Amino acid sequence: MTLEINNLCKSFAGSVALDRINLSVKDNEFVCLLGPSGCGKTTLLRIIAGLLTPDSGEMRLGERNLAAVPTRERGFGIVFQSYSLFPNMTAAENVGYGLKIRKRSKNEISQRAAEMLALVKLSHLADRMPYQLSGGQQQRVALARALAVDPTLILLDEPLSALDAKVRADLRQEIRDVHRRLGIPIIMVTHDQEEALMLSDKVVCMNYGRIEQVGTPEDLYLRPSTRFVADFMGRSNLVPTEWVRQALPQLLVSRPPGADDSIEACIRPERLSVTPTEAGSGVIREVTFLGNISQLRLDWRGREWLAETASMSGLAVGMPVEVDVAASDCVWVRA
Amino acid sequence: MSITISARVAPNAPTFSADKLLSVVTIAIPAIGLLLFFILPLATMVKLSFVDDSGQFGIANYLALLNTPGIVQATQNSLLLGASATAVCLVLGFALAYAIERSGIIGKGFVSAVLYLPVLAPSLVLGLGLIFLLGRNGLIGKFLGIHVEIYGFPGLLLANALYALPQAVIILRAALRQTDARYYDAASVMGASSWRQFWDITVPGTKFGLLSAGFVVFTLTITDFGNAVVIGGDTKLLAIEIYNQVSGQMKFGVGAAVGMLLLLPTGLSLYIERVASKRQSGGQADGAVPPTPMFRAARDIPLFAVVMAASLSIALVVATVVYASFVNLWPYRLDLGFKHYGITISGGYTPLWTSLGVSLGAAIGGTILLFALALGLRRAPPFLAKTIYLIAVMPVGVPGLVLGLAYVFAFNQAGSPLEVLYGTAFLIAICNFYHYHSQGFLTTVTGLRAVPAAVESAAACLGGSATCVLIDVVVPIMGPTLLSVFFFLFMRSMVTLSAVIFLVSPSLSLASVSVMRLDEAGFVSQAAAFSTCIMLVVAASAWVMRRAVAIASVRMS
Repeated sequence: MTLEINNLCKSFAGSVALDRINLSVKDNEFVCLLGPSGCGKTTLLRIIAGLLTPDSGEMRLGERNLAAVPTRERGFGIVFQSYSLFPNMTAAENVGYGLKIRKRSKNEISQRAAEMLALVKLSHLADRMPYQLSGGQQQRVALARALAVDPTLILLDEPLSALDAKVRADLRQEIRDVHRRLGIPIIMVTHDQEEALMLSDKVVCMNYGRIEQVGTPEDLYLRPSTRFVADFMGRSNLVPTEWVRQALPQLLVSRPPGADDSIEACIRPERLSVTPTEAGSGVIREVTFLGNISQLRLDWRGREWLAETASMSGLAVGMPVEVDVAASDCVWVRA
Repeated sequence: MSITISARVAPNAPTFSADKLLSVVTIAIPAIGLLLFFILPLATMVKLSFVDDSGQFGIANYLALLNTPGIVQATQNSLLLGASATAVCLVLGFALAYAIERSGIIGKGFVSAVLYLPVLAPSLVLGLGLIFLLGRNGLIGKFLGIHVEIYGFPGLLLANALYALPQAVIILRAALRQTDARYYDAASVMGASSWRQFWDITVPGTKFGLLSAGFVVFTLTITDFGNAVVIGGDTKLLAIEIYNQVSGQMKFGVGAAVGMLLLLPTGLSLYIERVASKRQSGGQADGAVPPTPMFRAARDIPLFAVVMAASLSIALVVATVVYASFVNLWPYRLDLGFKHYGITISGGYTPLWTSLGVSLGAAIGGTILLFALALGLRRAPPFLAKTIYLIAVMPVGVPGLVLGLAYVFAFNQAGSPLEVLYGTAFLIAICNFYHYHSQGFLTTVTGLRAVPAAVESAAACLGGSATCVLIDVVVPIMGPTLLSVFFFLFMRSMVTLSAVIFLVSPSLSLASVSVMRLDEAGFVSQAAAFSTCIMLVVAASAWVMRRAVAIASVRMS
């Protein structure tokens, strides 16, 4: 079943939270809503869940118009950032709650709860109360609880944000596995671009209540369409057309038509070729060693540049370097 | 429960009518209650205070007040008494609170337990105890030969101060608990002495606590009724005057004017507290660490002396009442017996059972209404929620005396459809509930805030209806809070005197009123016996409450 969202708008007390959102989520798809805080991603998720009502716009799941369907009849599963387990129920009771509401038999409920807890590898903690579980374990139980009712769609609202780095990485893998195994479409809200890149089939990058770009992780990283996306997904050197025309005219071949100040060149740091040479026109200002790579801050032709290089061949501050950019390594984005 | 049934009549309705209806009902019924039993009486009082005997609109009642013999004197006495009691309670209260929260003294458990005693009994029990100790037939006069004139101002000050002290301590303890230990750590690292830290961190940190405790004590004292009757002697006080004007001389207009004046100090205090709380919020960081109590001899030994003197006084006064209730002929024949417990005058024990019924009613009905209101406000549109919230916290600014008075004006009016309520136990229960509405309401709202919104959303996504979510999730989480609101309303209802004194009649009396009537009639030992019974009932229910809350909390976390 496909979730279709057309021209969805929502404002709170006069300020626009969502502006004409169009989005479709297909079967088995893992979609991330990515953006800085306040960009409207959580609002969109809550509207999809039915926890908020949109001001205008249309939402359909398959043939069903969702507008008139209350939250509890949508049959979605949801996992929040934290504190969403029922504190008065054990892990197993939490997982079985959705089935209890559906008036399933005790047997079926406990069987399903056990099965779901096994799926998230928590069978041994079935009888624990939420306060006896760690943050990561609580989120696993929450995930199991969301899955237990055979949801047509899973909604994840920053499920990993409250966790430590190591636990976060484990659970991220877990979510990925569950998605692959069960094939249920998932919509996840996150502000962590690495998380979005790793998990999604499709990333929806949002800013100020609007969708900036929708695409695969590769699309967003390699072919960002706006300055915001280029900046938000990883780091970039963003250069005005005017400067490119003077200093690197060979890059102009790929430039789409448009006014000078409406389009900028985006060059990723790792695409900048940096060669140490006495006659170089650039100078290294800073070197940051990051293990697998080194990050460089350069002055070159009157601009400051960010570069990344895997070679460790004696780069030092103050060293003259030659810098080059191939035409294929430049992407043009809307400013 | 009719909510769910009525919704099932139309199962095909496209909207979620059951949930909507639930949120409308949960807010409408408590709101109507507030309008009818809080706003309406007060509005009636305001109106009445501006309408003179001939039906003319104006300030005639206020002018008449100035010319009423004794009123000016009574006002002066009440203000002086209020100010003195406040000063005593703030100094002692701070010492007690500080000793419990911060010092390393021994006997903290004893002090905390003793501070419970005045809460268990009507305020006049302290006056009664003082009379048994220091009165004309007091133990101290008889055995030590020391005679003090306890009737009048000294007795009133002592009784009121001892009565209000625990409430001041509760507020100040909370204020002291809020200060973050890291402030002290930072100050120590910067080289501040502990004396400097006390004046630069502790005192400023409890500034608003002191302010709010001061207002509580002041209001309690100037509107207290019981001690004024029992130990006031010839000292004229506002509370007695107002009662005489209304219940004795039926001068409603003048009574209403006095009621208006009594609203002034609490109105002011509410305003200051609002400003204060706004200023203090924001300073509190998440995960504040409370300071750990430590023993410092130079500080804690004098502190221990003060704290013990204060708590032993309270314990002694209350214990004397209990003791006196068993003594056959105070203070001449000190052999013990139960003869004073055979109370037959002024209704015998009937008022105790009436109080029990009224208090249970106020507590059960009140807890349900407060829970419904808190739930309803969560879903209400912001403007409506704000307005109702404001009204719901207003009763704390209305002294019981004024509320009782306002009830007389609103419900003792011929021709009003609400007159049928006047003189019923039902109205007394309602009055008690709205008297203590604010504290119960705030506790419920705070408790409900502890239910994470995500929990409710998660339950809704799993397919739970609003009622389902309520029963399976919200009520269990709220259990301890609801229990404590229930017992708060119950215990306060059992011992309050100032509001209900206007609503009782010869055929419908209450326990606390009975104690007063027995004392007035000269049956002091029987009054002591009756007080002991009240304390027993209230203490037993307090114990049950602690057990129940403990069990409920353990199950939760």
